[in-house]
Amino acid sequence: MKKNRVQQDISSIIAGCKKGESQSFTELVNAYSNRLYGFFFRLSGNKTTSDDLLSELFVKLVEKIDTFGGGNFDGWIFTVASNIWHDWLRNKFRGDKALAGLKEQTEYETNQQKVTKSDNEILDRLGRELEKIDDETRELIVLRFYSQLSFKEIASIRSEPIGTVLSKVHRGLKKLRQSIGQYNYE
Amino acid sequence: MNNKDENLKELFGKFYDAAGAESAAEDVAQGEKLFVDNPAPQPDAQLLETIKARIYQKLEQRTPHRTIKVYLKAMAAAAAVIVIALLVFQNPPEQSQNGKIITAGFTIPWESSDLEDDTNLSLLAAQVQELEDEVITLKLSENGSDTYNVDELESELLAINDDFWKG
Repeated sequence: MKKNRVQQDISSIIAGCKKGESQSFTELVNAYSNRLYGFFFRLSGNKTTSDDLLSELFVKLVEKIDTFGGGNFDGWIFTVASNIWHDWLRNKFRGDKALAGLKEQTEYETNQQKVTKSDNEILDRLGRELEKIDDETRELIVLRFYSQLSFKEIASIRSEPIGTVLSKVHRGLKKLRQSIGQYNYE
Repeated sequence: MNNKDENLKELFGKFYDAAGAESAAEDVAQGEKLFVDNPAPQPDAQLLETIKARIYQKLEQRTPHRTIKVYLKAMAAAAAVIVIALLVFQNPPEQSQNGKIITAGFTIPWESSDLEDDTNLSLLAAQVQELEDEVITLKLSENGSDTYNVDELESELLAINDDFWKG
């Protein structure tokens, strides 16, 4: 019953957003910003990057909201978030590659090391252990937790067999649990 | 479906035996508990305000675009109506579908193979011919010069006839 009410609330917020009502966008930001921020933060491990990605996502939604044709909005918005994350990774890779070709390569690498070090300093234990997991599995684990989607829905939006998704998430979480358990023991 | 509604044991049971499914479900539940115990930071209030301000700005930019789109759609619809109207009025009526139906409506009785219809047609044609003759006669009788020419011609014929017998 409560779930249905929440779903109705979201539906009316989305309808308002489609009409271009600023109040509905405010409600959308209030409803989703924490989970989406957690998603970006656990993937990037960086607050500044998470700030930028969250801003980019919501501003993009103003244009994209008309393309939402019904169904599971959580699945849709986290798919948009995932696409933004992948775009950011691609741009970062291109930027890194271009910078690496410059003469100031040594200076850049030193700065990068500094940035990475400072990022790691603010990361909690979970963040540090997540960084050790491969990108694809990490994204699935983070998506599963913050989107609150079922395995079936995740498999559907990622176009992967449910068995593959289950296996990856299970293996990743088991590894995470073991490494953090070991950390606690030490 | 929310992931909290999911029966993990049942789900893993499709891929593992009972013991394996239970163990895997436990691994996932405990692993996800790590995220609950170690929450990610939340976005700053300042960041959220900035995002909302950017959204409002974007919405304001979007409104004129929407208005222009509506105008363009209306103009396109009006242009389509004008083009269709021109096409309909410029074409001769018999070329249009309606024209064809009307023509067919007139021709159908004349194409009848019914003998009675053919007799009626002959009678009608004879009556038309009679009417035409009467009209010509009336026109001739109205015209004085024509009447005079006929009388003159008759007198001449009589004179020629008398002259012939007189030798």
